Amino acid sequence: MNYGIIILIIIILIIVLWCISTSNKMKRMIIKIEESLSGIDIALTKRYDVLTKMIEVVKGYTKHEKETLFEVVRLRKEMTLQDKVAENEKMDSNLQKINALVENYPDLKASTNFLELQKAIVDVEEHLQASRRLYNSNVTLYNNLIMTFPSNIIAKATHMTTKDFFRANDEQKEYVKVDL
Amino acid sequence: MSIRELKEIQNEIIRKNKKINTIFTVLAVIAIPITIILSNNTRLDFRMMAFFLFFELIFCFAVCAITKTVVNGRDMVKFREIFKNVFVVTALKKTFDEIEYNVNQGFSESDIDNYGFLDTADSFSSNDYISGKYKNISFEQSDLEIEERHETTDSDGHKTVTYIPIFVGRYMIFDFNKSFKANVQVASKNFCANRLPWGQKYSKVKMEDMEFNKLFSVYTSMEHDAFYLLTPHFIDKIKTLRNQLNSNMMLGFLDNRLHVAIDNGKDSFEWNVLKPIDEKEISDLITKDIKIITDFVDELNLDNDLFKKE
Repeated sequence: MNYGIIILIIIILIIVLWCISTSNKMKRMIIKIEESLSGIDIALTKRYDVLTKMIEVVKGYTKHEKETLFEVVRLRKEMTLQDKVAENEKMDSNLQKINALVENYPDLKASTNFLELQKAIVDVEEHLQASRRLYNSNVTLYNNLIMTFPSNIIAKATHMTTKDFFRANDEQKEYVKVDL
Repeated sequence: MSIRELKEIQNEIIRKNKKINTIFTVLAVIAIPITIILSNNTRLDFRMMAFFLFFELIFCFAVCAITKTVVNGRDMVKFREIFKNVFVVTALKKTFDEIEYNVNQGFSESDIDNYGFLDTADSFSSNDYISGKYKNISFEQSDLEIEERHETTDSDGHKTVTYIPIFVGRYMIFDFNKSFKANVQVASKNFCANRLPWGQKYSKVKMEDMEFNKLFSVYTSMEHDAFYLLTPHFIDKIKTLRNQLNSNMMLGFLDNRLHVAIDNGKDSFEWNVLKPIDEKEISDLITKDIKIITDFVDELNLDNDLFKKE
């Protein structure tokens, strides 16, 4: 066989193998992104549970006062990333209201049950932040891969698009911090 | 026991050393003409004579050093005991609670093997074990020296065995204020000659901080826990400690405790027997060695119990 044909076959083989490995790499990264997104779901659910308990405790102490309107948070299956960000922001808002209310109720502020819940919410927030950072880190790696040459050719051919980041309102986050 | 006593022991050692030096200098001076005369009588050439002279001087030097160690052995042990059990212990008690100090003991090789953060290689030794509490945080620490055996064979087939240090420094364990499931290791690039048992077992994680990624490698069995433990604030503090210590270091998170290994090439809480005694300098040295422990608790806010479950 002609040497030229052998070299051509080898080059084509290398390109095919590279295409397969790049495509598999992208698929593995998507799986990692989905895994880290499920981490965010778990952290949001935990945050929701603790916040619901806090609201119940606060309502118990403030029942004689005009009812405070807390935002209704709804965590559902099949939520988009934007929905999750929106529900998370509602939880931030509720936590701000709780912090403001607590200042007027020293008994509530000193109650063991409430202090435990405050501790729990701080830990849940840390887990949520970790999940968010892990998700965003995976998205950065994936987006870089599918946007840069030559892997963007495979991304276009397999209809892969960039993923959105899970953005947190940092200004609001700072405000929501719990003082113990 | 006091500085005066340390000075007395030191003077005694210096006096004995002077005597030994004089004796060996006289012996060396006598040996030179004897060698020259014997070489002439036996008709040795100049090169052989020079070799014998060189060998004699080296021999004298070695025997002199051994004699000093043997003669001063007891005084040196006494000096070390006073220095450690009086000066170091007093300073430790001022800073820490529930202090326990054992000069000659340290972590066992099996302990370090079980933790899995360091490779104990071919030679392992540990001393200066300290345990106690600082700001109500329990800690234990010890000096470690780990060496790797190297065997070389020359053209004549002679084998030479040498031990090369791969870790000389401190190993500290602190109670950690966060609960975690997976184990995480943060190690400086080239730490322990890259002999990291964990690095071979677990996957490498990249954090968002480019500068941190250049300085450290992070290994974990669960990425979420690496991000949970290494918050941006914590990462900044690790960088600060790395700059302060100016040494390769490793942080390991295991069983809700923080393990720290600092490869600074130093044997802590030691004072050279022949170095002039200066009370302020001794105090500074001990304070500096103690500060390495307190810095980790202070900088990393290990006493913050926000995350501790009752």
